[in-house]
Amino acid sequence: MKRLTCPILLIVFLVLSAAAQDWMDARRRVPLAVKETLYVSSGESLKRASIGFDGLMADIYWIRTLLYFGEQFERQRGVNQQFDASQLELLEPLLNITIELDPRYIAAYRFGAVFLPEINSESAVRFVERGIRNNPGEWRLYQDLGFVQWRRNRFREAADAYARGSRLPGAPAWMRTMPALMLVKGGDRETAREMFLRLYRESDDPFIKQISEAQLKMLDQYRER
Amino acid sequence: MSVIEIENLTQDYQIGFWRKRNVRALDSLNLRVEAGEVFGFLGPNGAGKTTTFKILMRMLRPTAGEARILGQPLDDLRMRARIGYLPERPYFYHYLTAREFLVFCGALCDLPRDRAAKRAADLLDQVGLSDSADKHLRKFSKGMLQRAGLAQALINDPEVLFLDEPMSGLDPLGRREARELIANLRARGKTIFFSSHILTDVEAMCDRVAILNRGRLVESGRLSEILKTRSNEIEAVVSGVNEEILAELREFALEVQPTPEGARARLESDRDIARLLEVIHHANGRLVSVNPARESLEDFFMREIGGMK
Amino acid sequence: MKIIPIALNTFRESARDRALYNLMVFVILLIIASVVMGRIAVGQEVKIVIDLGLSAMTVFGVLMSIFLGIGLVSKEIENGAIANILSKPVRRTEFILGKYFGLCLTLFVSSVVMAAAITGALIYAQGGSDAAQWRLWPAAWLIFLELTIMTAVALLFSCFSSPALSALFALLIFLIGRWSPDLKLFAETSNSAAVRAVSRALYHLLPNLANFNYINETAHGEVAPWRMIAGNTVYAVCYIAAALAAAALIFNRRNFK
Ligand SMILES: Nc1ncnc2c1ncn2[C@@H]1O[C@H](COP(=O)(O)OP(=O)(O)OP(=O)(O)O)[C@@H](O)[C@H]1O
Ligand SMILES: [Mg+2]
Repeated sequence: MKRLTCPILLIVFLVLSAAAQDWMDARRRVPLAVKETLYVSSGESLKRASIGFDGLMADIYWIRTLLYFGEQFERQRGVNQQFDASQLELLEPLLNITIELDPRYIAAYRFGAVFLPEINSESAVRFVERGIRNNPGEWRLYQDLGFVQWRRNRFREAADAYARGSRLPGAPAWMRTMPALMLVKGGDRETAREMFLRLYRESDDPFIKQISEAQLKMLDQYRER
Repeated sequence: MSVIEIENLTQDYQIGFWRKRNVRALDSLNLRVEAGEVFGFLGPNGAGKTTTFKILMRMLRPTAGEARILGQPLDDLRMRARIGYLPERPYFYHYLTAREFLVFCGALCDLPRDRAAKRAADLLDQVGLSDSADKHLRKFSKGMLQRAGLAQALINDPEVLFLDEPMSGLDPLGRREARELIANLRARGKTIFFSSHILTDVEAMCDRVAILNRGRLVESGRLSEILKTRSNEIEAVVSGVNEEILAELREFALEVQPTPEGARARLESDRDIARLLEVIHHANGRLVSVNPARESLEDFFMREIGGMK
Repeated sequence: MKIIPIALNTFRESARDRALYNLMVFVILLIIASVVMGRIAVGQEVKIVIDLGLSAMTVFGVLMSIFLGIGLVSKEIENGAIANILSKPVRRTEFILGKYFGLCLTLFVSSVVMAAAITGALIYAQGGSDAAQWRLWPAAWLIFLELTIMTAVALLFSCFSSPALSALFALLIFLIGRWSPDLKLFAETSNSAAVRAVSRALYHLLPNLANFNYINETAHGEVAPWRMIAGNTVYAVCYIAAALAAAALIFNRRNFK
């Protein structure tokens, strides 16, 4: 009997503390993540504070970005079956912190290229161009820049971006066909289909895949009509 | 009923980091200490004395066997209130003064505050620390700490005392005081179980002893039973003798050992005493003592344990 | 009950520890410095004093509770003082609890001193007393609760591992505990059921320390609502009880060689 006192107390109080925790979580009005995600607003200062572990810190912020995005994604779809990236007010600062901590975080640039245009297409362009400045040899970023410009209907700039990217080592052949496509039928629905198909095929990010798949389906519906 | 009952007590220590090995520090020890006894617990370094104390004081759970104090299992708290313990290496909170420390120990033994304070003052006087009563233990010397430890063991006026090398670190005066203290406690009917390396102290104080070697009990019983009396042999101590006399003594004594003051001679029987007296009187020497030769505890150790190693 | 004398003796130990006073002086200097910094950032004095003051209180308090919490038991084992305690009519559990509450008393007193220093700094910065200055006390209470949780965690670790490892573990727990919302988020958004289950279990097993951080809100003029204070207090008491039960469970079985 005496032998069991400690184990029993341990279990009882652990359960009680878990219950108290859930009680408090249920009572919170503002979702924690939104309120707390931004411990800092500048990646530069964080970089200094991370005493050399900035790569790790960038990873942490990248994970935070994905967690934040995922949570919002699930929530919005739960509420109105629709996903509207323009409501993600913390997406841009989170991405900025990530790339300020690690300017070569390609995944972050690519993610931004797909979702930032819905929030602010100007800053999306600036974001991707910053990526190109930091990583001039990465042809994928030119593809992303072309994509962002295309979504703003700036076909000339898009063609320019594809042309520059296609000259880089490692760039695939289809990149060379893109400038012509942009200049000739930039606004076509077929072009849009092509763009999203490329995005779908090239990306290994589950969110990007889901979004581009949804866009493709929508385009197909138009065509059938 | 025995005050301390130890049955088949066995303790293994695990040593080694990667490949664990067991070292048997105590091997099926059986021991009984009766009420009112002063019981000496002897043995060379590493024999397992401190290990036994640690088991009795709940520091270690024995690998096998059991022990009872005052008829109670070791975890019994009411029994704990009736015993006292002096560890081998006393460490006490160095940020306390000796008096504060004793009052704290009193509180742990359920003594009311004023009783504890009174008792602390008495004990500090008894162990000769009344001048340093309000000094921090940090500033105590080894012997002073040992005295404080002795006082601490006595704070609850225990019926049974466990002392692990109570004399270590004490000066000659301190040792004599400690001996007197123990004799005093014994006169008041307390039971004392103590370990020691100082054989003369043991011979002077103990009713019974147990001798331990490498975790095993070698011998236990009254000293007079353990130590062989050598038939009729006589030991005489003389002083003021010169080389010539020594040579003369060697002619009939079994053994002559020079000492700084004179010599010690072992004689075959009391018949040789007259001759010895004659020789030394002739040389103006003096007879210091004549005793029936008995094996000393030291001899016993040499014989039993020296041989076993 | 031998818990009280042991607790009071533990408190006396820290009260006679000079290092602790130096630490307190340092924190108070920092609080004074925050007044100067507040002067530079015109209009932000109150926010800066509260931010810096409560943050310093947290950091030093956590360091204190981890390092003193580990020493509570391991030091006594190391130097042999435990032999003296165990020979006396004291349960091992009483020893653990006495040690724990003794350090909590120390932490309580130093938290009160630090919170008073911040209040003083606020009164000075605002040039007079103001009811709003008292709103930092609920936040300070939450910090104190966080410290008592960290003490229990440190004590628990020191019952079965070396002091250095215990310090490392306790610091890790502190960091993870502060990131517990992310752990919850992770538990809710992961695709794998196994990952979800593990992170949910961890979320409940590790202390949720983020709940105790109300510094930012306090600096922006909010007062911690009483429901939150009560909920956190209940949570802290339960969590500490569980941690101490685990510590006692381990400590009761230990051998002291
Ligand atoms: N913590 C420990 N780990 C491993 N072995 C130990 C430990 N403590 C003691 N021992 C071993 O147990 C045996 C008995 O040691 P113990 O301290 O009981 O001897 P002792 O009789 O008190 O010796 P001394 O007269 O030197 O005080 C020794 O061989 C010792 O090496
Ligand atoms: Mg010993």
